Amino acid sequence: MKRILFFLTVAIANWSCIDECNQTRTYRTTVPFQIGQEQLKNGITNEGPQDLVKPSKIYAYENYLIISETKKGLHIIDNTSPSSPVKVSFLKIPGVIDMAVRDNILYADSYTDLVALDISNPKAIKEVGRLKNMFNHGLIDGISWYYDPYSKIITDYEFKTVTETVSTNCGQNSNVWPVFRGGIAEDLAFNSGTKGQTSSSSGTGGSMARFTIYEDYLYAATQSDLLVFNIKNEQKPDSISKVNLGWGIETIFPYKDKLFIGSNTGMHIFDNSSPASPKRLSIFQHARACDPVVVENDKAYVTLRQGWCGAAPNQLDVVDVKNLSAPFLIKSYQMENPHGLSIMNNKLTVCEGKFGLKSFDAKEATDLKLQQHIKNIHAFDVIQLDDKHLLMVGEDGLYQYDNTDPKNLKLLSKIEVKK
Amino acid sequence: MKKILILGIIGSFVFNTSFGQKEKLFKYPFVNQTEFGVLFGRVKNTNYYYPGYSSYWPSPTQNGFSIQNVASLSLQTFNGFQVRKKTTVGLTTGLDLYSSSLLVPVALGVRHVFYEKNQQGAKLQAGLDAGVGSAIANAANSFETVKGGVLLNPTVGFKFPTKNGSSWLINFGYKYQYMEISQIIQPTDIYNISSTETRNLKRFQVKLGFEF
Repeated sequence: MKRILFFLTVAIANWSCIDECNQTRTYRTTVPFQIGQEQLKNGITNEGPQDLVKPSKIYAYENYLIISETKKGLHIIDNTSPSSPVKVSFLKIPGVIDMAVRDNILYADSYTDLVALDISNPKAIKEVGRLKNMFNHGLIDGISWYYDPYSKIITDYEFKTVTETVSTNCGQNSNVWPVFRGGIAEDLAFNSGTKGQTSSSSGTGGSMARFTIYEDYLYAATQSDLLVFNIKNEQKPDSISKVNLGWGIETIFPYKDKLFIGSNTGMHIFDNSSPASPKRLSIFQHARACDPVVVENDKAYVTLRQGWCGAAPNQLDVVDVKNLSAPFLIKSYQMENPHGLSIMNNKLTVCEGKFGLKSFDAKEATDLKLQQHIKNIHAFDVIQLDDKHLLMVGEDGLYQYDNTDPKNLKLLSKIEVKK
Repeated sequence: MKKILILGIIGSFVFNTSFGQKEKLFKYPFVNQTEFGVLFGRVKNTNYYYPGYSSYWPSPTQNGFSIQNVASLSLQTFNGFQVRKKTTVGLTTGLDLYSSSLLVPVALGVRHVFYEKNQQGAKLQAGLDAGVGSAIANAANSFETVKGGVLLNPTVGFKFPTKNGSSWLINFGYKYQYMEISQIIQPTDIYNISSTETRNLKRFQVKLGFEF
């Protein structure tokens, strides 16, 4: 009896009427790190082939495919036979986001610098030129970086997963959890197919790419400006002009002698007949959204989707751009979550993110016909290389399709992402 | 659905009242104890200092706390059979209206009279309910899911018999209730991965009721 009483006393003494509430939360946050100029300069190295981890942009040049790993480097893939692509090498470039190739010279950004690399031997890529401090800030995958010209230091952020436990007030004055999240949000920049229209041999990049080559000029869109570089002398790219575009620039698409620039509030059309100084002709405004754009036969196809860059409805707009100074909307189509898209010979291919890949017949702009919907794959972006060869990149890897028959896409090969 | 359930629980109070009249229906005498209670507790509100003004990271540091008194209502009905002269076993259910969520306790209960001066006089009664609090009646919400948990409720109190065989009850107890609240993270949310709050609610209980 005494023992029971003792236990009871102890138990009662340990009881309290104070609630104990703990919240265990796991979240991603952005953690800053800094990069000095030397680090940037010495950061470019050739490495052996590596697995794809998080493929971002794709660029096709002759028989090569270049796949970027955001801010890490570029995979060089020999795609001579699309049914069995071979990884050749991995080129480490700190801070790389975009790339473009002309005549065996690869132009890529490396944080603040524009570098020119000779890729004639993809196993031993050499740096042949560098323009310093061309860019002073950037934004990709929801993370922005900036350059401080006084300290000459680049500050970038990376995601870090944190788990922590804090005590709460048991929902008494309910402090609502999803509160503000760190970092700056923008949608994953993925691109879609476009042909660099030049007489010399340059490659095919994405419409969501911020780099494109037109004749002897390399255009690089930053968030707010369009930089024009003269690349006539490949070894020494030269910055020649800067056009202010307003905020939220996402994509750049060359079509004939025009440049279509997608921002998250509208589509800018530039006359590029004098490539050194493009002139703005008009702006087609739309709701705030993420919007890659492609153009064919005087019709621009713009996908709008909900994402980090806006909250517009998910749709595909077909815009008549015959009169470039007065574009008008032909029709809007309901979509699920459209990302990159491509068009060639009326074969319109739209990536629907986790909803898969859709191919349309775009003969009639007022009546797009769905030909095939491949579900169960994740599709970010497509490039139509030629009439029958389609490249598609998604979270799971790079897919190559034969789309001779848009009703029946044949998978040629897939480069898996290392999970 | 939930409204029906709540009505059902309230209805069972009434139902039991009429049911109690037919005593010879079961082998043991049927006992119903229906009580209305208040759960008194204290909540510790820890203040945190967040070094980053725009996010949780770097991790916050504790920076003092304040304590707040809270009270919540509870309705409960114990229905059982008097298996011994002084012992009744049965099932306890009801409604616990905690500030953040509404729980339905489902517990096995024992009531035992451990002291009485005489048959007609006041009795000292101890009770124990052990079971789970279920969040079934909690209003659904797209931000969080509430999961109930273990419930432990020892009580001690008085029974005041009336002339017609019923009794008035006054009980004092301690109520422990576990609860788990998980945030529903939207698939488009790239920052938040998971967030679960465990609540150990410890309350001092005062309840008034009657038995027949």
